[in-house]
Amino acid sequence: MKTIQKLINIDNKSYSGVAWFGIGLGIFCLMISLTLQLDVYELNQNDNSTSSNEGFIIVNKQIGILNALNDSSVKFTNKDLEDIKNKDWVLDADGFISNNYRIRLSSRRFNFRTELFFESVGDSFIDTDLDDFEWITKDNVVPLILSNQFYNLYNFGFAAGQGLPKVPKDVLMGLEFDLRVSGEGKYRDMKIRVVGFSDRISSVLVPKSFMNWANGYFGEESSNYSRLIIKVKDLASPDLLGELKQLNLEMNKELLGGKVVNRVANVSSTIILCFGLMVFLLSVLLITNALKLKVLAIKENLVLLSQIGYSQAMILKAYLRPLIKSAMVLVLLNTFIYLLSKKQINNWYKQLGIGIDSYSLIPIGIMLILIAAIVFLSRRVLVNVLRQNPS
Amino acid sequence: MSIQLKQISTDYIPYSDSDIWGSITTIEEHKLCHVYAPSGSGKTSFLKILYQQEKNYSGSVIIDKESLIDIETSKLRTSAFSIVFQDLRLIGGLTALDNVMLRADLFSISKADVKSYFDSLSISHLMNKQCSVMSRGELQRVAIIRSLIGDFKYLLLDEPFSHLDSHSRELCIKLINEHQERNGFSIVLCNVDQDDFFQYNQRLVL
Repeated sequence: MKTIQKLINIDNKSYSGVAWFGIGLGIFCLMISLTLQLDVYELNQNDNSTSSNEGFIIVNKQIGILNALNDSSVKFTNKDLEDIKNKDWVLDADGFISNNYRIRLSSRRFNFRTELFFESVGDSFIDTDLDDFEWITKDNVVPLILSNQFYNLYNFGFAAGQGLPKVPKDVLMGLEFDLRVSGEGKYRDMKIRVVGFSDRISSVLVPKSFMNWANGYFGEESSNYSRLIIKVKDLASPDLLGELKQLNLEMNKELLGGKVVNRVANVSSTIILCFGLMVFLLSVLLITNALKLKVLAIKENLVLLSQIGYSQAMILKAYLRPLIKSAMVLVLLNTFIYLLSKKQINNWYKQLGIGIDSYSLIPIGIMLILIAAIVFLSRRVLVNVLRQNPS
Repeated sequence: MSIQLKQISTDYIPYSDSDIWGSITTIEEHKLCHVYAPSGSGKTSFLKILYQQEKNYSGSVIIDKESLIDIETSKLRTSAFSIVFQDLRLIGGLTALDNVMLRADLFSISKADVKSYFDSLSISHLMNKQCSVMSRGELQRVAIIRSLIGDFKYLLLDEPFSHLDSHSRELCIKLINEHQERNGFSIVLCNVDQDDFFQYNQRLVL
């Protein structure tokens, strides 16, 4: 070891060690919070609703003792719908029209017969491909969109319990079932075919054109709606439930889950980001001060080195070499711990059913830039001290 | 290589009848020069000017036809001059050997070679002793050893033997003379009184 290194090592190593540990911790917190932010962003990108907090809720009026027997008091009128549409937290809304006629579904092939209900709602509220979801009066096949929830309920509940085979979606969409709609002493035999599945709406949906025709022909057209579907501006808004309560409306809070989780994840990762940034800034302050103190403490020695023939470049090189070595160890250590932590985070995602398995290199890039900046800053401190203290 | 002093002076040192301040003087190559004057006459300032530690002066110093101010400091301090400072300038936290090795590293001189200097002055036992716990006399000998390291043209000595007993001083003078004869460097020794430590070729009064 060159003797000049011995001189450098005279200084209090533990102080520098604490500073490096702080910087390492600060940068690690930054990297983790950054990767969480990126994961939340990726999650939002993958979310097929929107990347913002817009979303859909389905509401109904609260059923109490007073209105339980009065059907019209639990339904929404056109005025109710317009009032809801005019709320500032609402982007759009539509009502579910229910059938006012009898529906019987059967299949000789599968040997079953069941009563059924239909609902219809505006196409813009349905979250599936609507290419085949059209009906005109002369059509004998009624297209139908089935809730994914119902489909799963059949496959994993009813079919499993009755010993019936599970039906894949593709197969189900290829089948036609017998449909009889009747009312007012009239009936019509038709076919139905499943043309899509909806995650958003738990119902059996038919085109509005069919519903209006059938209600008019077999029953009576009603302008009331059993439920409303509302597109809201901010699904994660903490005020949303309060607004609904004020209007005496109920909704399935599960629908809020994803967006609320996103909001919580966003807030958490922002807190971690701020904390990481704070630790990092404190650490930078600590190491630059440590370096300044170190240089001031050995200022006389630096001057002496110059007096016995060392050039400024030689002094700088000697002092920056251990600094760069420490920085490189920090880069390797932080990269290793970051990748290990990300692997664990990805495992947790997997357990939670979140489809993120990526290892973003952005946090590593940011770390390299920050550590390079620290080395550059340290060099500047050293150069300034040498310039201010000529021998 | 000679040193030409052309009417150098500083604001803070009064002078009259000086061979250096305000005069034109040449210190010849391979010669032994003795500069003497009572305390406060500017002996250390004169050496500081030569060693580029002091730049606030008027007049000029020419070293081998080149102005002193144009010579790169680190080059001047390795290839032109070596020095024993009056205040010795050793690092208390390092051992005597390490203090000497700091300069030896600049010339790639081995530890074994450096150790031989300590042997010559009979202070091998001080090599691994920290300078912070050494006496002034011991430190002076370490500083003299350090000054002899390297390939330089002028050895500047600022009251180098002030704290040495006669035996130690003799050993130091012998070592310096041996190196001077071998390497041919010039010596500029500043002291308060006239002395006969070396066979001077030139005596200058400040």
